[in-house]
Formats: sequence, structure tokens, C-alpha cells
Amino acid sequence: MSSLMRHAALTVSPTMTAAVGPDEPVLDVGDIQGNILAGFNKDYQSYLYLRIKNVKRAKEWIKKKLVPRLASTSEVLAFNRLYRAAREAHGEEHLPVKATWINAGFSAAAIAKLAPAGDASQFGDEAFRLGLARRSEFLGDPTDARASGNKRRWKVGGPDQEADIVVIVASDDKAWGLVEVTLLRASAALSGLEEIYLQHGATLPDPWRGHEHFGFKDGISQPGIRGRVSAGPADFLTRRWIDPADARSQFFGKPGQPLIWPGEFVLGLPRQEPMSLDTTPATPATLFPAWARNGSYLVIRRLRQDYGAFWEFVNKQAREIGVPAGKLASQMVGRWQSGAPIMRSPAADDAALGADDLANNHFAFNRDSTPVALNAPGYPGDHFPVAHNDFLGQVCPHFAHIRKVNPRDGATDLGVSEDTGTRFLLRRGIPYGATLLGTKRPTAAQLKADRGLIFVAYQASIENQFETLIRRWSNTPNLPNPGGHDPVIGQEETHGSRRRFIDVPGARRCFLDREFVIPTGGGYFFAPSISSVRDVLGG
Amino acid sequence: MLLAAFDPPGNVPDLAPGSPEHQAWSDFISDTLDEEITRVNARIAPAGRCQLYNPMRTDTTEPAAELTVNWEGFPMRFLRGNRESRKAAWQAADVFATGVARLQDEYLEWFVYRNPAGKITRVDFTCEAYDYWDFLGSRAPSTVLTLYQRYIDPSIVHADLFTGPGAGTYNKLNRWNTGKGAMHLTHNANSLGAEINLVAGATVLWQHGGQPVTDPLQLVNCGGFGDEVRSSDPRIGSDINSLARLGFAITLKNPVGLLIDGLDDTGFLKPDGSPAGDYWRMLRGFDGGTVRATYEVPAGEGFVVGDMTVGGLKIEYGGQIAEHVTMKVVGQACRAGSFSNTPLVCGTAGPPSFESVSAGAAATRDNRPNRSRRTR
Repeated sequence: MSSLMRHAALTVSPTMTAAVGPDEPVLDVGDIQGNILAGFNKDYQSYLYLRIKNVKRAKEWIKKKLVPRLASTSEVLAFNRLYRAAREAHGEEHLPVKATWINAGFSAAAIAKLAPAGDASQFGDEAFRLGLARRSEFLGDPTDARASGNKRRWKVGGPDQEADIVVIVASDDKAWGLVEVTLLRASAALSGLEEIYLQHGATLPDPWRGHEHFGFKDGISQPGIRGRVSAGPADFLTRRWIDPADARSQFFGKPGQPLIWPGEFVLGLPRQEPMSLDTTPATPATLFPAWARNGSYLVIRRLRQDYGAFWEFVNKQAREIGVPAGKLASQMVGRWQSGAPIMRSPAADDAALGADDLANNHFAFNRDSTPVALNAPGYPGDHFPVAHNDFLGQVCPHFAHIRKVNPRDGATDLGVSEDTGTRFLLRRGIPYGATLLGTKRPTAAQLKADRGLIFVAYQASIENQFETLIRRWSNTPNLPNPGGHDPVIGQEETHGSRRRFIDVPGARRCFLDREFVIPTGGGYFFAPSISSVRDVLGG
Repeated sequence: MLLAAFDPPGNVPDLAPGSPEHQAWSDFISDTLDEEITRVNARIAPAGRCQLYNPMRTDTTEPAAELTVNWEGFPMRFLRGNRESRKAAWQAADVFATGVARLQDEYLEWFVYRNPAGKITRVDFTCEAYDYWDFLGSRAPSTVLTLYQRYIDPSIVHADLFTGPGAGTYNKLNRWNTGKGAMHLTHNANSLGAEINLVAGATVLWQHGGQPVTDPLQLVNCGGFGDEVRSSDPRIGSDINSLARLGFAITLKNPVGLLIDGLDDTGFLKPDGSPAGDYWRMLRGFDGGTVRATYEVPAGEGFVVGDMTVGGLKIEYGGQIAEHVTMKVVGQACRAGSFSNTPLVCGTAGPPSFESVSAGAAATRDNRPNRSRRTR
């Protein structure tokens, strides 16, 4: 999902001095699991799905084998900072600093088994309590039992296949990660935990590193998170790139990265105010057991990507409506393959723009963008063409994936655009399977091979965040604006019909006759604080 | 080409075309538009360049475009007030008290029918504005009674609906439209006059700190139209204003009215877990422009609405269905770029947004301009 983009709505005077920033809370980074707020950012990740057979033995395993390996935000952030500093100093992507991290999530059913009686029902999020399998049809997944996306055919997470625990093992080194996975599998088996599924994921090889299987750069747009990691007044979790003299520094980490209060991702912390971008936050959520503070809801969807179907559709439709295939594909995504936003480069891809993290997310949809003053020593400046008002969706169509899941400065069917600040996810996904990118004539067997994305997202409300983005916006042709379904991830099933469409600007309606992204597993989990895993679930 | 006359909302067949009643309704809409245009013309610069036009007096020229503005039918105020519990939000909105207007303020109201076991058997939805029904009550009282008998209860009599001397005054908060059914909208804000007022106000351009105001929340605050806590008002206001900033001449498409765009029943399941059939029936309006609908399982299916699930949850509240109903208004725009009005200065931008904070001192909620003529 791309981030809420409001900076272009600013009317800042260049000479204005920003007021003192909001008093952002010191986050409990030693206790919050590391993948939530810092993000593992590893090239190799494995997802081990387990089921509890014996509660007492499972608790022992959690306490003795799992808890000592759980990585905190503090650890992960320290590594990420070290990595970034080394990369900035040496200009290399592949540095000799490596780490392996482990985090975990627990389903509502697992919490019912492991936590004190009644605690599982204290979680306010109905979707979490019900679990992904029972929400599958609601998300538009196929109801036909013969369809490959039907939950009865999932690899994991379908009826009778739901995992109690998911363990995420992430490493910079494939072998290191596999060692950890092997050790965990062995210890889990000895503790009577049933292994339901093991999924390995990896970033795609260069030059496609950071791209997903259709070829588009992924994960560009993430919200910034308000909060400090120490008592230091400027020791922010999210780096602040904007010149303090520019008032937008109060609201953005970097251009296009709004600063969101941490309670939108971690329970019990100050939340985003849905009616204002006030620097005073809304009060924390309260509907959860006390021990769930500093935890986060974790959504995992195993999404198979049909590379052949996607590009076949794009090529065929592009021929019929008379546009280059790359252009139509970029309209479907909202970005070119490099990650360059079509709002800033409507005619052709611009690899330099796609690679520029301080420019590739700097655009609004409903007004002209304006330059942002940066505090980025050595940065040559954002000299790319500015984005212009595109209220009518002539440049970035309303159906474009990035516009569907983040309408940025526009009002939506849910009212003011500030509300969109309460819909963000922290995405931590990774591809799985062998890439076909760069393969000129893939064989039938290659096309048929299983590949896709392990979609992973943390949030404070599955209903208000993940499900709203997917069911309400991606899946509905007229929401948040009329123009068609999200052609990448949107699904719809109306009385047996799964017909979807996009209204290409200046052309005709194109019907999406095949599905490119097919759900094949997953689950709704909760990632508690490390102390709660130790003392409550393992205690 | 000039519009000959405005039709009743949803093109409902209550007023015979060419009849005095039909003409009177058309006059009502036309006059309301004229009043709003006059009001806007008095405040903008250059005066007399209001971008809203009355299509009975000013041509809609080609190329003309339609703008459909959508919003969620379930009230945002209950979602905001119950951010952690959807169930609490549904419960708060499902209040039906005799003689009292419903709390459902997104131009969609509903009424829940239950069987003796308390299970929902039917949910009626309406988006017919009360000012249209006030009009019907004064000009076609027998039609009012007939419609109530058809859609609410055959036993209803004239005295149930009309009060005052000679029982000639239509009582929109009668028991059959409040505690025992929903014939039309009751919330004070849910009127056609309010819609036109909102659209007119939204055509005014604003600036703050020398920059155009584009933020939906700020527009509500600057323009003093609508209610920012709703999904509908900021949405309508923002989209209309976006057209105005592009220099379009703007009007509401005939028939002027709030419309139900449809129900998304993806994930509605029968008790056996199979997908629900199409239990949504349009009762008044036209395809794509419903003004009255009902959700009810046909007799013979062997279960009722309350036996079904949505997203795995039993349907216990009308709001569970309402949150999947999308509403709309349809605007018309032509003569793109023909206006370049000077934005008015908005000195009190309201609670902080990116615009107001960056542009200088943010006003508090207490010193915003007066709201629209709607009261609530």
C-alpha cells in the first residue's frame, strides 16, 4: 500500500519556521517485537505454521525455545541503523553485516488455549476473533470449492488447517535462516507442536531485488511512525528528512511518508485522530486484555501470482485499446516497474525517479505538488517533474492499485481524507517462488510454477485497516472513486459472478477475465510483546 | 439544451408528468437552486459568477460529464465513536423510537423488522428526503396514504399520518415512519434542501495563507457547509469543489436526489455457509437510482435474515447490512475551464490539517464560520 500523501496539500511559506514538534512517546522498543515497527528487511524469510496439541508442552516450548530468540524492535532497529549507516558510508548494497531474526504471532484460538480463560474474547477486533478462514468470503475469495483460491484448497489457514502459531524467521543469509528453521522445527516437534506448513520466501535476484513477481518495485510507500526510541528528544523511530524550517517536517518523515501515531499499529499507544492531523493524538485503544498492550494484529495472506495471466491480459488489452503494454500495466499499478509514480512521470518509466526514495512518493492526487525543503546532506535535490492535480483520474486512474489502497489527499466514501490516516498498514511481505522476470519465453511448466507474495501486515485493527482497504476499496469498482476494481488484488463475487473491470481513461471498459492474484493461505494472528509471550502465553 | 422540468427523486411515479403537482415540485427544486445561486453570488468574487447553475435556466452544453459521488450509508459518527467495536456501532445506530427521528444521518435510513424470536426478518432502506414527503403531504395526501399502505402496513389510515386542524398537516415523525417503519428520511439533516445547499456552498473556492484550500475537512470548515463527522458531506463538498477548481459549470443531475447506488453482499452467507442469493429488492426508483429497497429472504428458503451471516457474524443489526450500502449523488459538469473565480480568504480554517497548520495559526473548533442552514 502506498502512503497517505498530504504534503502537497501544504501551503507552507518557505521562510516559516516550524513550531516545536509534538511530544512523541518513548516506545517500549525492548519489548515490542522487531518486525512490527522496525521491519526485518531480510532477503530470506520463512514462515513456520504450527498447531498446539498439548497446551502444557506448548507453553514450555514457547518459554524455553521461542522467547529467547524473539527479536525486539530495539535489536532490529539497531541493526537497520548500522546497515544503513554502512551503506551510506560505503555505497554498497551487500555489506558484510548479517543478522537472523525471529518473531511470532498467535491466533485467537491459540490465545484461548494459552492465556487465562476469557482473554481471547476480550480482543475488540471481531475479524481477529473469527480468523481469516471465516472472513474469506467477506474478502471476496472464491466460494466455488473448485476454484484454486477457495479456502478449502489453501496450503494453510483453511478450515481444519488453521495455524495456532506462526513463527517468522528472517535472515540476511539463506543458510543461517535455514539453520534456525531446522532447530525450531525440531524443538517444536519434540514439544508436540504439529507443523501445518512451512513457507520459504526470498527477495527476487538482481536486478529485480525489491520487485514483486509482475516486475514492479514493491514496498515503496510505508507510513512513518511517530515515537522515539529513547529519551533523546530527536531520537525518532522514523528518520526525519524534512528541513525543520519547513512546517511539513511536523507531519512527514520524508516526502510522501506521513507520520502516523503508533497506536494505529501497536495496541495501547496514542492513535491517529481521524478528524484532524492535529499533533495531539487520539486516545489509545482499550478493548484488549491488559497484557496485549504493545502487541499488534498480524495479517498474513499467501497470494499466488499468475505471471502469465497478468502479462497476457495486459498485452491483449493494450493491443486492443492501442496503448503500449507498459503504459497500461503502469496505469493498473499506478507506478512503472522501476517504482516511478505515473503521477510524476506519465509518459514513460524513469528509473532514476523510481530509485529516489525522497522523490518517488512525492505526489498528491487532488492538487498540484510543491517542492519540499529537505535536510539531506549530499542529496542532489528532487528535480523530477512535479505531479499535477489529477482529480479526474486521467493520469493515475482511480482503479490504479496505489490509488485504490491509498487515495491520499482525496475525500473518500468514508469522508474526510484525514480518515485515511487511520487505514495504514505496516507491510512486511516478501515474494516466494522463482521469478520469470527476464525470461524471454517461459515454458508452460515455468508459467505454472507456484510463485507469489507472502503478504504480511501489522495494524491495530484488522477490520478498520486491512479489511477496509481490501474489501471496501480494492474489491469495489466505485469505491473510493468510480473507475473499476483494483486490477491487481481486487476480487468480487456477486451471486456467483466474479466479473471485474477497469475503465481505462480515454479508452473503453476492459473486463478482467482472469484473476492474477489468487489467495492460497494465511491467517489472522496477534503478535504480543515479548514479555507477554514469555509471561502469559508461555507462562 | 434547457431542462424542461425537474422530476421527483428517483423518477418515482407519484406525480403525473405535466400535472400541477409535478410542476410544483419542479418549481420547488428550481427555486431552491435559484436561491442558492443568489446566495453564493452574493459572497463570491467576481460577484455573479456562481459555478452552480440551474439547468432549467442555463444550458447544459456538450461535452458534459457526470460525476458520481459515493459514500457509505452507515453513519460515520457511530464508527468514529466506536472505533474498536463495530458491534457497538451497529447497536448505536439501530434505534427506532416512536415519534423520534432516527440517528442515521448519511442520507440513508433503515428500519428493522424482527420475528417473535427476535431474529431479523426484513430491513427496509430509504433515502427519500423528508422535504419531498412534506411536499407530497401537502399536495397529494392520498398518494402519501397509498404509499404507506403499500410499503409499511395496509392497515394505516389517514389519521395515523396527518395531524392538525382538519388533519391536514403531514406528520413526518408519525409512528409508522419512526417506531414502526421507515417510509422516508427523518433525520433533520437528511433533506434535499440540505443537499442543494451543500453543493452550492461547495462551488465556492477558498484560499488560506495564499494557497488554494483543497483539503476536504478544511473546505467544510471554510465553507461552513455540512458536517465533517459524516462521510457524505465532506465527500460531496470536496468532489464538487474539485470540479469547481477545474473551472466547470456545475449542477445536479435531474432528478435531483440522494440515491442508493447498491448493496455489496459479498460475504453474505446462508445458514449452511453457501453464498446468499440476491435478497435485495429495489422498491422505488430506477436501476442505478434506487430510493427505496428492502432486504428480505424470500419465503420458501427456510430461513430468515437473522439466520444469515456477514463476514462470519450472525446478522443481528440493520447496520450490518447498511455498512455495505453505497450511496451517491450525481452531478453534471460542463464548460470546463470557463470559470476562474478568485478564491475567498478563509481565515478560520478549523482544526489542524496539513494546510491550516502549515499556513499559520490554526483556528479552534469554536471559531469556525456558521454552519449551513441545516440544524441538528
